[in-house]
Amino acid sequence: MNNRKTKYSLNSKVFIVGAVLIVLLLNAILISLNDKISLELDFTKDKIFALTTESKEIVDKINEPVDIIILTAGEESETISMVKNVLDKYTQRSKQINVREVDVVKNPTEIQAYMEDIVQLGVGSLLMKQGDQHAFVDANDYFSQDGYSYIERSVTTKLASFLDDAEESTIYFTTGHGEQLSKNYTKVLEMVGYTIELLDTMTVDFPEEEDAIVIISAPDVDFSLDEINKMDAFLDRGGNVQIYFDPFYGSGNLENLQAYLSDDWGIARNSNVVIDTGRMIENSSYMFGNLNEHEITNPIMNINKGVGYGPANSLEILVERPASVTVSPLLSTSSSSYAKDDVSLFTSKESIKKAAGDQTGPFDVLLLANRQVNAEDNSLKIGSLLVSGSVLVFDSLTTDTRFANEDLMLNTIKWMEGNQNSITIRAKELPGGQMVFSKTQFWTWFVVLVVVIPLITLLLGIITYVKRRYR
Amino acid sequence: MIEIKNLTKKYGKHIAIDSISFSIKKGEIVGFLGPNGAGKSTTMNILTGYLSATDGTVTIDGFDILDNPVEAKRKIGYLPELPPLYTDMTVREYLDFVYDLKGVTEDREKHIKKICDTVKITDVLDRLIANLSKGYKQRVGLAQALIGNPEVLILDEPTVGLDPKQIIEIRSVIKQLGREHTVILSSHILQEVNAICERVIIIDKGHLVAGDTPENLGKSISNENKFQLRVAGDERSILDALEPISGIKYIKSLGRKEAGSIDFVVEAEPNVDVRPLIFNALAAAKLPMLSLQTMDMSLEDIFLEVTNGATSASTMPDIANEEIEFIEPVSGKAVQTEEGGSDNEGNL
Amino acid sequence: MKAIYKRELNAYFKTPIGCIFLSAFIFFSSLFFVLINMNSMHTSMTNYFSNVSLMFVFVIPILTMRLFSEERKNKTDQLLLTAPIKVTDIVLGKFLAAGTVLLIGTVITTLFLPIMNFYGSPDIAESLIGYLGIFLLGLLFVSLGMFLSSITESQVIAAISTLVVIFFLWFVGNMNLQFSTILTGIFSWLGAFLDWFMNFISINNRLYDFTLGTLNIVPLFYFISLTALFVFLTVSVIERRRWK
Repeated sequence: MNNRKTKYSLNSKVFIVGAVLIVLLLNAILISLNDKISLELDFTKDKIFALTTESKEIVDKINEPVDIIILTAGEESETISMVKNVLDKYTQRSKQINVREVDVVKNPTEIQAYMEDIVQLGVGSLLMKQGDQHAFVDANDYFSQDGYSYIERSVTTKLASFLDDAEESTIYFTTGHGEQLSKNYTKVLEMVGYTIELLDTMTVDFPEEEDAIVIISAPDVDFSLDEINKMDAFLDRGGNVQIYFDPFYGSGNLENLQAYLSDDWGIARNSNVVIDTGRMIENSSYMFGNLNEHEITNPIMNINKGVGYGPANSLEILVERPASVTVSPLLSTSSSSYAKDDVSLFTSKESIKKAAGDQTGPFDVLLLANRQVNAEDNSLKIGSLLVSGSVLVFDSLTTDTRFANEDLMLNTIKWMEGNQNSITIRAKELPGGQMVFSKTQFWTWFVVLVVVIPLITLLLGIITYVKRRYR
Repeated sequence: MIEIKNLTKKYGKHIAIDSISFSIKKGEIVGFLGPNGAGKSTTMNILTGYLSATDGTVTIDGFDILDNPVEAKRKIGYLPELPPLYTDMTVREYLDFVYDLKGVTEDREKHIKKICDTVKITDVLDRLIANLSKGYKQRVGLAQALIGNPEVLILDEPTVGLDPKQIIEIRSVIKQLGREHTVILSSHILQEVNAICERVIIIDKGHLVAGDTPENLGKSISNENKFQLRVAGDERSILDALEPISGIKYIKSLGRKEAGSIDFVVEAEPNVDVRPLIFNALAAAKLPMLSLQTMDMSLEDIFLEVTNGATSASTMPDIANEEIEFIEPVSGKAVQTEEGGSDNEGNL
Repeated sequence: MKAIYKRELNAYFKTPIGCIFLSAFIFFSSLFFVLINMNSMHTSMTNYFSNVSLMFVFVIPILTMRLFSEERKNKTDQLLLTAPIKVTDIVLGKFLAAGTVLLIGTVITTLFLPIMNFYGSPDIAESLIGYLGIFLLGLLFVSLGMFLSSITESQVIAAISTLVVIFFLWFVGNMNLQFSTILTGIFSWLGAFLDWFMNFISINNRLYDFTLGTLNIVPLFYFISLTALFVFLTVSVIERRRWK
């Protein structure tokens, strides 16, 4: 059967099989190559999928091997591929970094020594080892939205801690006044390399370091005059204090603290609750604030993201204040906002409706005050006080990438530390930002996009067809 | 122009065409004749490059249809059995498309207009093909084949399913086209081939069984002399007068066709001209001969001769008989009588 | 090729098929856009892109079912295959026509960007990468559907098989099947290979980089090479049929 058909048929079979194999092979080569070198162009604004310059600097400093072990449990999951994706960038950058996977269930011997800690962790967590040092990155903390940048920040921070010249800076949280501590706030701070320390101001003095930062988060019980004096001295030394009020806590019983703020800093906390229905996010009690120009807020305004706030007291800058104090508003409400004196009305859609007697906005909800003091050695000390009418760092606010609350928080801390020139957006967020529109607009677009445009297209098709049919 | 060598097409074990060879000269009109399923359409599909032969070669004007398909196809206009029409297009759109498809270089407007005039579809140019009658669809199909002025026209059953008036029109168009093109036409209708073609190729069960001009085919297959004669008088006395003639193989009465006369078919021994003998014998018996005509073997006869009887019975569809009133030469009744005659012959 | 492309594109819009496709394409895209982006009031289209690929299960068959099935059924393939052009030109012409309709649909849905720009500030460059990913994925499915359409004479079978295959690919991408856990011992290599292969054909994994706004050569090459492969296979199927 050596006829034309047999020849052709054989040729064609060879070609088909060859083409399939070549395509599979080339793809397989590229896929494996991708694990070693970066073959991608990043079109995201933040270059979110490339290492930040900070990460690169730290990675380049590593001169002893670091093992990064991905802790798996039998299954390939989206989390693990995301983790691998991030870690690829590290291995591409440094030969000292080795990444491998260890199945916790099948292969526990290797990680037996750390088992006690590991059982607390989620699948896809990282165990990082260098010499006798080790650190964990917990997969339970990978937030679904910005997991990518979370992993990078955590890994880089841990790598930095392995380096000899790693600096430790501490942030103090006061206790003993019924403070509400946001777990996410502390977690983010730890992630970017801060140590968190609790400060019982009743018994312990304020820290000695000049640039130290003390945070008072939603106190419910007043500070004693002695504590106030200690704080004032701390600020005179050039210290930094952040006070976050919450309308539901300490209303009416923080006399000493509020008196100190109004007398010494010209800042008054009103006992009310601010409502800005026009800027309220659907199905939540969060509202978007207006950022005011400041070194701290400018980078955030540049990325076009909003800072959100929950129930808030309005703050007031008093005309009568010490000449050495300057106060600048960072976050305000819109001009259509209003405030109710009865905080308990902040519960339902009905009860927050504007009523006669409500104070009208705009209001300030976040203020930054500075006070210059000539120290005994004639040097100029600047104490900074951040006062917020609302706990800006609610768990869901810091993790929600629509909000720039985390950026604002980190920026204030950086600024207070005195690194005014190096204010950076620490968290790379997944791209995108908030859209603001009303419910009517939403439904209008729904009808236009889902109903009207498809229907018009369909009708156009049918009309042309029917018209032609009778030709 | 067209060279076909050892063309074979197998579908699995079934052999559709078995080593067919023939060639067609430039300017010829060739008829492809054969019963349904004989392999006509398959051969044409191979000629046009729609199918590929299992073995053998097709060369169109020096270009092998497999090795140089584009060059070879450029020389061919093909009207398949079912016209390849996009029913969602208008005639004009369709012809424009075919014009582009074939990459024609002539002036578009003029070229298409000329073809439309030839096949008479100018009045339906802007109609949707789906809404056209069968006859018009066939003509649009023919127009499609003509676009690009190909040297060879291959038409597969161009008149099938048309009404008699349309058939006559299409046939005259084909005849006209035959002046400028090489035409290959397939048909299972004998009259059609006889009426149009200069040469006939008969295919049966994938084999080429005959190929020549219709006249030569008639002569080569039968050396017999057959006559039909009409004689005034009664049947018995006429037979009595004729039977003694020595050169006559048999005589068969066809019965009364004209008042007072009887028709007969007379077959003579080969190489004997019995006509003078018949004339003399009848004259001697005072039986006036009203007419005497030779009966050349018709294509039907040849067809039946070369394909076997069993298939031929089924290959004569009713339509062939219906058409006879419109087309020349042989009557349907004659066919049946001839068959009867052959049977009688067997009895003799 | 140009003639085929022109006719095919015309055919899409002279019959209702093209508009039915566009209508369905816009409907599904809009639905996902409204439910994902408008609903969360967020301008990042990552979630939109990774979910909208599901619509191809329903819309691609509309686009591809008739490409070759109809030609065979109506015998118009006799015209194309006996015309003085290459089979590759026929296939490419048809593929590009279907691709153009897909492109029209994709471009119409970039309407979402100005809408978002009106209410917020979307990252345009990054979203366009996502649109590119969706378009390339659609193009791959078009070539796949065209291939399936070339195999059968029936439009219905072509449509259903395309639907089933695309759904299967989508399903595999969302399932995370683990053959290596089932196949152990001497078959472990098979398990590993099947895992690799399942990952390989998993569309969502390939689309992942695009949805994030990064242009990675690996998925880019994946989409283009597989599209080319199916175009080639379609040509082969048609060429081979002549010899049947």
